[in-house]
Amino acid sequence: MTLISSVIFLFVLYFNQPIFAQSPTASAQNVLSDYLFNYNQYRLADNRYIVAKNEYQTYKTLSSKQKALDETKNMLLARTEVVKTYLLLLRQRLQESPGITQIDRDPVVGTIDTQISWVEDQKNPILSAGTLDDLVKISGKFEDKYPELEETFYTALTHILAGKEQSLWTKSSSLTDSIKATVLKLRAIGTQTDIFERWLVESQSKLDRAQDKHTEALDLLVKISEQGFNSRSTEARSSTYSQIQGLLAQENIYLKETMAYLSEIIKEAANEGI
Amino acid sequence: MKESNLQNFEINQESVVPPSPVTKRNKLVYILVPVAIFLVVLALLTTILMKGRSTPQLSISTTPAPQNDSPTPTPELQISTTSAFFQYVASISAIQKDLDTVDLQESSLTPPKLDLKVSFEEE
Repeated sequence: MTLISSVIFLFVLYFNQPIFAQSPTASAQNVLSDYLFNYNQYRLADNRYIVAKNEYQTYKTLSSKQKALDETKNMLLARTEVVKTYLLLLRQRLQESPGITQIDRDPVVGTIDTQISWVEDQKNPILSAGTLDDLVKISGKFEDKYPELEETFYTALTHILAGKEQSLWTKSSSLTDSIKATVLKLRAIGTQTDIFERWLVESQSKLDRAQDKHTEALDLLVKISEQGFNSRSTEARSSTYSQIQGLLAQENIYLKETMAYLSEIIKEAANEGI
Repeated sequence: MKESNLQNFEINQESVVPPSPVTKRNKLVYILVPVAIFLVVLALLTTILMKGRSTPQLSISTTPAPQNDSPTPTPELQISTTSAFFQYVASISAIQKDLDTVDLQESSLTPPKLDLKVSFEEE
């Protein structure tokens, strides 16, 4: 009886494993929808907060003050929810995107988890705040933390984009090696392969350039973390991230050129009747 | 009668001559010639057969083949390289498609723009 129970337990445990593995991250589309919904809710809450704030500053009545307090709370709660769902989205994408090594992924996912906990911890103080000053202080704390959050945003985004290009680079490099091996076979049986070999040299050169651009893009991550936590750091980080996107786009162009050279080899082989 | 018998006897004596030494030699010739012919034919056959066997060996050149005369690839190798190139066409197309469609903007992932400053002081 004990043996049968153990077998059933192991069976259930085995078939439940994928469910447990999936539970931290639902499908990417759901997480994205969740983030977009919360972002929309935040914008509405922010508009209501601005109206309530203006009313309070105009009339200074108790009712307008209470309304301002409620709308500020709603806006701050919606803001924490946006950041939380955005972090969850980045986490999801980091885990699903190809080409990201575990060494790159794990530290960023760890930071994201820590920040999600921090953001969650902000909800109770917001709910329990009794005055507008309390809310201003809580918001100030969030404002101080935001550059750190932003650094995580851009680091995660860079790894997601770089991972895509890295995956394509690996495929291109692998294909180049396979074609090189075939060309060597042809040379061994006496086929003229000079033209093929010239195209292969060009392909390898483009692959190397693509890799250089990839390295340059990842090196800019250091710049993002060094951009400080001042009022202009948000713009600076955004600008650096645009540079990273530009470098990855150049990597993409070099990979396209690599494929064009490999296509020439295939065309030449077809012309030669090989 | 006696004379005629005597003549017959002489004639018979002439007709029953003992075998001459020339005849013995002819017999020897009769034996040796076929044997010799047989041996010659045997030698010829052996030579022809040996020639037939050694022809391929003689045709192999000991000098290296000229550069232009490329050996013909075995059908198996020819097929394997050709099919490999066919496979590469599909792989190249797939990677090219991925390179064309890869989203390096990820506009849906752009960080949210948030109102960070909360203040109730008069501006």
